[in-house]
Amino acid sequence: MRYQRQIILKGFGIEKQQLLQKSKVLVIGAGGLGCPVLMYLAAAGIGHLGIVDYDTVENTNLNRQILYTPNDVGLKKVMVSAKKIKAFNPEIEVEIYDSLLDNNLAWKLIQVYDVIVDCTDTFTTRYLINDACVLLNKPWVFGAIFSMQGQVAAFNVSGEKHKTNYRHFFAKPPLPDNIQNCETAGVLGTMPGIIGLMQAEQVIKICAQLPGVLHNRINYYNSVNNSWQLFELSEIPQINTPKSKEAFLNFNYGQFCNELIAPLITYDNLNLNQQTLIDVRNKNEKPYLNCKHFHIPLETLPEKLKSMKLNDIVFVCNTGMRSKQAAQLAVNLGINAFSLQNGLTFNQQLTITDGAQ
Amino acid sequence: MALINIICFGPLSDLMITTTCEANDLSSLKLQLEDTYPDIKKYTYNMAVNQRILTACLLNDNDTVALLPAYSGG
Repeated sequence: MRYQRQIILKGFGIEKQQLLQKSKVLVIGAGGLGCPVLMYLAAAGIGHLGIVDYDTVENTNLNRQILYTPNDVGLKKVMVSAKKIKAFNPEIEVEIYDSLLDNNLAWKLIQVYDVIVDCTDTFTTRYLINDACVLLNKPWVFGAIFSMQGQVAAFNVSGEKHKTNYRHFFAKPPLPDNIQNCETAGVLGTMPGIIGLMQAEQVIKICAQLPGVLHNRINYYNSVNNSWQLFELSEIPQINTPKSKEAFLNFNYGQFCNELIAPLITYDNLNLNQQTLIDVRNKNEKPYLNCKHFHIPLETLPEKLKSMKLNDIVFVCNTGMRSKQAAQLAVNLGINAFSLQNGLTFNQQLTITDGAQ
Repeated sequence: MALINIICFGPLSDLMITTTCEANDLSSLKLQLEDTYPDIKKYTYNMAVNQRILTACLLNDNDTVALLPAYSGG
């Protein structure tokens, strides 16, 4: 019997295994955190897993997103991950949602799952998940990575004296200038593995009603000094979340999280004879561009922009995140600037293919 | 004045080198740190005293104050 080793565990038994088997868990994001979460939840016998992701597998994912191989590059993460975890455990049901999570989808999905796992990397989605879970009374497990550090917690867990959520820790999101992700700050592959496993463990504890759920606390891991530190929420501050389904569906999370407003441009609307293309990625980041451009990494851009005297700029990077920040910097200086929508990943007409590099 | 140990997390660990500081309470410590390291003002962060997240607190010798910013990589 595949679950025998956990069933014989003291305090577990067949009843706990049945609780796992009856559980429906929604994993949002099938990237660095999502891969270990999905693998271990499938292996442990969570009866029904839902996967939400809109992204495709990239070569740069492979140092940490361990469900994927070089053969999967270019394929949809939901398709590949569902196939792999079904192979790990054919006894479980897997449902996929090939979409970006917006208010409507969050409302529709979160109500039919028992536990939600946030494996995304944006504050916009994090506050969206938090508020939907608060309104729909669902526990959710949070994880985040910064460079060689990570955080993990369980929010909105029932049956506790104080039912705290992410807004109790961070009532407001940080300003976008100060948000770094794996693409800009870098990440050692083991970091999302460690934090993802902690998330999977929290999900199992919630589903099987085991002790040790991380409510009202955030666990911080620092790989540089090999330390875990648990920080407890001692005061329960007043928070402001949408109070009804209508208020939630109409809440603009992009605006709340200060998402950038710099204009986006699609490949079809580019006019490269008149516009100046600036690549804001770090040196040697692939894929290389196949057309005339300047290369100014985002870090050094503020200084350079003032002296360049350019107008009509299109900024590019791999996903469109850094280029959006760059365009915002330029727009703030009164320069006419755009960010290439969805980045070079979705605009391969501008890049040299792998074989030619 | 109490002698406080300071630890930083996330992006703040790259911005500060202070490991100890003298202060009477949490808010004066915050002002002092933000005065010395103005860059940390750009970040949203919580403060914890001896691993308890608090907004106001009198400080004692050997208390450890942690600066805990929000981050979102995944």
